[in-house]
Amino acid sequence: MEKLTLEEKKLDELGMLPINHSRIYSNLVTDINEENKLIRYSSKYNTDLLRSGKPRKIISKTINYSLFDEE
Amino acid sequence: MKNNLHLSSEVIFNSGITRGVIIDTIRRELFYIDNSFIRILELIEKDSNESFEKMVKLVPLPELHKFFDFLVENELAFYSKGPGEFKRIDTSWEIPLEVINGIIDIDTDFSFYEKALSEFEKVDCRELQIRLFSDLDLTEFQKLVTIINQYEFHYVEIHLVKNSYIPEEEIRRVIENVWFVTNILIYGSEDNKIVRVINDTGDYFQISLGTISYLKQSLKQNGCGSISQHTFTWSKDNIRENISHNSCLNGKISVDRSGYIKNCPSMAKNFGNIASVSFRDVLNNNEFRGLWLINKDKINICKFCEYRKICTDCRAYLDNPDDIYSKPLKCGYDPFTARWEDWSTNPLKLKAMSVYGLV
Repeated sequence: MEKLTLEEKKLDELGMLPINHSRIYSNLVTDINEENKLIRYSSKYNTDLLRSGKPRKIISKTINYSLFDEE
Repeated sequence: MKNNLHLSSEVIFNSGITRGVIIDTIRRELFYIDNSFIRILELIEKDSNESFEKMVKLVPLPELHKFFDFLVENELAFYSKGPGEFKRIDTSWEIPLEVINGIIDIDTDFSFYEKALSEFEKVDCRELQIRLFSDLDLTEFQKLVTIINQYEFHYVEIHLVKNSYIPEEEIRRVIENVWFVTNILIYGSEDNKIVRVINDTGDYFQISLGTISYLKQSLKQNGCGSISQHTFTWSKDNIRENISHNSCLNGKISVDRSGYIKNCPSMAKNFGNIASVSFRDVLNNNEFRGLWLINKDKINICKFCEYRKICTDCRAYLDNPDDIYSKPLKCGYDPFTARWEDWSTNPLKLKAMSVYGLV
């Protein structure tokens, strides 16, 4: 995933927003057509599935993850 | 307390033998604290009327207020006006799947590949890792990809040994065209780097279809099982799973390079060959499923570690190869000194390393 933008807000800047956090991460708008390409209908599960970029958990530990920052 | 203090739902905490830790799972931050403050966090979590009186007995009032300020400043906790407004989320873990992920190891014998895929589909395994240990030519690689494309998985990653027969364009094409193959790792590369496969969408935020990871290290059967801060999990779902189950083996079925069904391809114990035994038979075997329930609280040394809720485990390479409850061999952390060291240079691990052929 591309890096997200970090915005730090003071609590009074947030006004009446119903959130408790002042550090907010955001990204730019994506192209809906490209985003739709990540979704596929599955007849097996009778539902739309979103393509997974990562496994639910590390499947095996063959990689030295320290070689890659923030991965 | 004028107002009620609540821990954020994304915060968990844990005590160790020497210190405690607060884990912000959203921001992936760790805050180390004295174990006496872990008791304070437990009382905050309880949110009962007597909690504050008990807290004052444990920690002097000025220290307690400093601790509350620290929690609020770091957005680990927040105040609310009324009591009982924010109940803690249940930490029990359930998943509507019997098999969570699987591994297929392939060397030169491809004969069981299709049977293995079919068995994985039958037990509704959604995430799969395929590790190809031999030098494949382009035709063999394309054949393996064509076969897997006939099945339906959610996520597949392919581990390959670098060779000159499979061009990078072909690997990129697989990620672009095979919907569930999103990560391909190439071992024995010249550099360590990750290349993202991205559709160019002009001014819009780029969407990554997957990654090709190039690794200098070689792909070895006994190269698995290294535990470090980089293998910690930050997902609340995984943390809940870790509390009651083994963080690596739970829900895992593997097929080794000879077609034997195992908990993990690196483990010696097998439960029959895939040619004659079905996954359903293996899943009904209590010995196979027993390993799924070895959580960190049952593992020697790990049970004293402050990281035990977020750490992953390995039952294939152990400090004491004869004791299934022994600490993972490839972990360099000592919870008694709170220090990380290089496990491979520890003289106390030499005997176990020689058993596993690591020296």
